[in-house]
Amino acid sequence: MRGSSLAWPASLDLLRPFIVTYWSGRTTDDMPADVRAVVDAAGMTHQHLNLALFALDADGKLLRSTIPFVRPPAFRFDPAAQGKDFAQQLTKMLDGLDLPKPAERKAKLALPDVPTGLRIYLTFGANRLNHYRTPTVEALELPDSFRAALRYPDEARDVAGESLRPMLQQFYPPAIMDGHGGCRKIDARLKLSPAGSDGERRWAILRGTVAIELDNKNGTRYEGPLTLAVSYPKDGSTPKSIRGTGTWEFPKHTPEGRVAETIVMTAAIESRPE
Amino acid sequence: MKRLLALAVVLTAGAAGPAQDPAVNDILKRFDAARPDTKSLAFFSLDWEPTLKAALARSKTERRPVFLIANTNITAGCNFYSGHT
Repeated sequence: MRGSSLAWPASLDLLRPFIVTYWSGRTTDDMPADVRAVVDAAGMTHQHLNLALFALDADGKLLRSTIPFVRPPAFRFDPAAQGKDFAQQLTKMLDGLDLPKPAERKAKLALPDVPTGLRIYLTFGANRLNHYRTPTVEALELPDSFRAALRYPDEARDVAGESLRPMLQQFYPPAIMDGHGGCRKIDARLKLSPAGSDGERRWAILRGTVAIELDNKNGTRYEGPLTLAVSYPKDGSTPKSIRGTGTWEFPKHTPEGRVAETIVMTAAIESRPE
Repeated sequence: MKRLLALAVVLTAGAAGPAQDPAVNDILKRFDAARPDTKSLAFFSLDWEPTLKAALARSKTERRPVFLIANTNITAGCNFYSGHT
């Protein structure tokens, strides 16, 4: 849905006049009062909403709502067919509304960000159901213990995975239907080694492997390499910038617990601000 | 004179420490290749707010409409903006 129908260019163009927001929970019992008021105004009473869309005016009054038809199997998981159909449903939903002309926003990206910390991009390889077509992007602030663990090494030393956990626990795929969106266990074997100087900065390289077990029923587990280049001021030991990548192949299970396929997940990690 | 210059270069290099490991540039290049391009991040070109409350606070002052996406997932809610569960 997020990766195909909603991200289809025609769908994005239809949504540009709006300030876009979302609510998601386990059931409608989790809804905050303001979201519940919108859902009630639309006359939706079911405890589960696979997907529901609402257009509100500037004062929050409900203008239109719909429960779109989003069934990827009906389109043989073809993102183009799904996207075109979803855009048609959006067009019908919004037809006749007096919407403002969208601002010049088209080329400007508003990515998740933090004043200081890390941003992680997760992208995914080809998969049978065409999932994950829009990258997952997370931004996180870092505790002092994270930076302390990556202080400049005068000689190679092991780095405990636990000290890097705020970053490592982001290396999981979305849409694991039998999970809660977290990791049960993380095993990391990482070594930080000095890597010379370019005259203005000193460098170190963090290398090793990270194994992750998800909190889902099937106990999905995957292991892969992580490599980061860390820079430091020439006369300082606190990390100045971090960039690198990690790669894993995770098994995707059927509802019956059989491994249907393995999917490549790549993380691109950058410190913020640049 | 040439010998003096060569000696100065050696001493300067020594003061700065060992030269940068070429592996650093390889890692930075791999990062550039793995970072998604603008086209694949187009989803983030929408004008997102993290909650309905925040969206309505802005809509009232900017006089713009709000589009709310709602969904449920029995095991865990998801973050439509970041993409993670």
